[in-house]
Amino acid sequence: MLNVSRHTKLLVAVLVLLCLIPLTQRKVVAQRGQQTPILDIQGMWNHNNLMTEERATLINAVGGGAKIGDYTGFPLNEAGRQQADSWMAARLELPEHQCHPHPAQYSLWGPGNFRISNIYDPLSDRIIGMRLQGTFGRADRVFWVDGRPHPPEYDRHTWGGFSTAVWDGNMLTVDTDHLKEGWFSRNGITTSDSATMREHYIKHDNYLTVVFFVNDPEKLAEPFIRTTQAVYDPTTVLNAQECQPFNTNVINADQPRGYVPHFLPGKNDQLKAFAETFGVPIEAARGEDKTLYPEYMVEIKKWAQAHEKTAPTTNETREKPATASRQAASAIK
Amino acid sequence: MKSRAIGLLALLPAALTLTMITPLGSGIATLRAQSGLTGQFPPTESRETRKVGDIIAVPVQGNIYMLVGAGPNLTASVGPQGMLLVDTGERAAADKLIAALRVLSPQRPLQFIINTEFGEDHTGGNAAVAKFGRRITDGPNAQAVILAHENVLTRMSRNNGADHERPVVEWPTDTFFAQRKELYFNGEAVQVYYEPGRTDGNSIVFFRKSDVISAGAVYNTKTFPAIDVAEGGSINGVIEALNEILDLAVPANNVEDGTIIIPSEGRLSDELDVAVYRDMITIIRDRVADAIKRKQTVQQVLADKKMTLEYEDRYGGAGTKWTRDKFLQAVYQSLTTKSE
Repeated sequence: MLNVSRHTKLLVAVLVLLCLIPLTQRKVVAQRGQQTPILDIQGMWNHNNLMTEERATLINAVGGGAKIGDYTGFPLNEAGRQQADSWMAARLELPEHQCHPHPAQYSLWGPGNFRISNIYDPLSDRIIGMRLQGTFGRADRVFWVDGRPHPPEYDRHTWGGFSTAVWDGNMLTVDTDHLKEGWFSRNGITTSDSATMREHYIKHDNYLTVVFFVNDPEKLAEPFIRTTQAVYDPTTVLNAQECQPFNTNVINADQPRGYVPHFLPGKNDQLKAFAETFGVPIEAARGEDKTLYPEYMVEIKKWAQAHEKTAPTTNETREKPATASRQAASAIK
Repeated sequence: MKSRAIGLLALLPAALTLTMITPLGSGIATLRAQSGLTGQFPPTESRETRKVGDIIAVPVQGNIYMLVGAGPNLTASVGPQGMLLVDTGERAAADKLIAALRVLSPQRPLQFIINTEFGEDHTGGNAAVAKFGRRITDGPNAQAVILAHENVLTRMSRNNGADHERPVVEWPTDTFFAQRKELYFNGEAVQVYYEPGRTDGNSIVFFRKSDVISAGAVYNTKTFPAIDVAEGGSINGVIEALNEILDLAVPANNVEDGTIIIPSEGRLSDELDVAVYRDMITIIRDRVADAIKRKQTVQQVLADKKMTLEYEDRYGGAGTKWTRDKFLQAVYQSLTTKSE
């Protein structure tokens, strides 16, 4: 009897301990989130050579930089699409629009190496934040890990935004707001100053993967989600930080004071060029949210099959989809 | 007892499952929250500000504070000569504002008030706040100078049938009618530019050494400009005022920082924020002008959702007093009056 009773007590003790483990784990995670990084991601990160393959391929294919009317892969809503449609590149020549860096919503997806370094409390020597420097145009950022709150509504918005971060297992999760209006792509696809962003920084040996979600209901039908990678490389060089003095506004020099280059709705005749040139269905080029999902490949295949039936057999390969795309494009104003 | 032990053993898998699910559950919760970030963080200050009652004094740069909580944003220059205040906010907030001013400058008086607009939200506190100050005389009749463009006085002093539009004690004590009024206060040049836009009485105030512009009612980060055509406002006036701000402002690196602009509503801004707002107003103006050129009526303009599609959630959405339709009507009216 005594032995059985001892066993029972032992079992109860084991069960109680097992039940307490989750609570203990939660507490540890919370403490880590407050102060102590589990993973060191400091160093120079080469991003240029490791951009997502299809992204790099696309950029190279179109000659470095987004083309007018190429909204592929962006879940634009109607408002975001109209804003992109009305955009005119000459606006970047206006003095007040020169020297835009890539905003934080875009910077890690665009080209540009970066450096991550810790910020220490001068008194306690504990890590209170991390500085991310680099990317195109140098919208340098700070990720605060000391639990400080985000700024109030009346505080300024910046290219880098205001970020707080917590360690979540083996990844650093960063939340950012107070962002400036900027671009997702330098062809008019705009991200608003109301956008918020969550990023996950995950390290695998010498590689850093960043998953980011941009939530911008003003311009997007659903969050914009991408991943990007960088490799640890102490020899990496960062982009220059300064961008001034500002240039003379040559392109718009003959325009009156306050001129803002833009297309009136329905007047941008360049919007179909990308789809026509690269043989992309116009619907996909317009950046609808449904075109982001694997299921949309069925539609693409149908489109391609329809094209195969209608395209002239003597045309060159590149012109085949373009012909069909022109037909599709003609149905859309 | 053996069976009791076996029964407890049977619970072991459940306990193990519990220990494994909890961290996983947290992970799922994290994933679910990934696309819904709004509202996760309390709106609290992250830098040093001075809060007195409901009034928050936000240090901008140099001598300048932005005062939040008295209606529209107000601007205060605080220095060795005392205080200069741009606008006095709503009448109901005057006592709270005075309490905050006492804390900001406990030794030196409020000497100047500059009104950038005659609307009651900008000038409602004139009487009480001016009385709190001291410039014109000492003794029982002491008060701060209230400076404004003469159109502010004209509007406030006009006869509304029974009486003046506004009590005499709220009127400006000093007016100007040229394009610019200048003074030197707290060690820096203060330039008041007449920039009619929302009405015919608007001004902007440039603190040159502090490198801060108090934009008054012609610029805010929350709504379309509330143009009052009947009171002399116009869309082109607003655009001209915004262009003037852009001419005065010089950004630092990456078109960020540099000259700071205090809007009548919303957040502290730099040149680029004003440029984004100017672009938006100009683009909408051009669309309405094009519609007018095509002989469209105001009803047709209002029915055309493309007029403001990409901007209306941001500046004229639900909850804003100055709606998209009111704004478009004002733009249309403004562009079809003879003076335009």
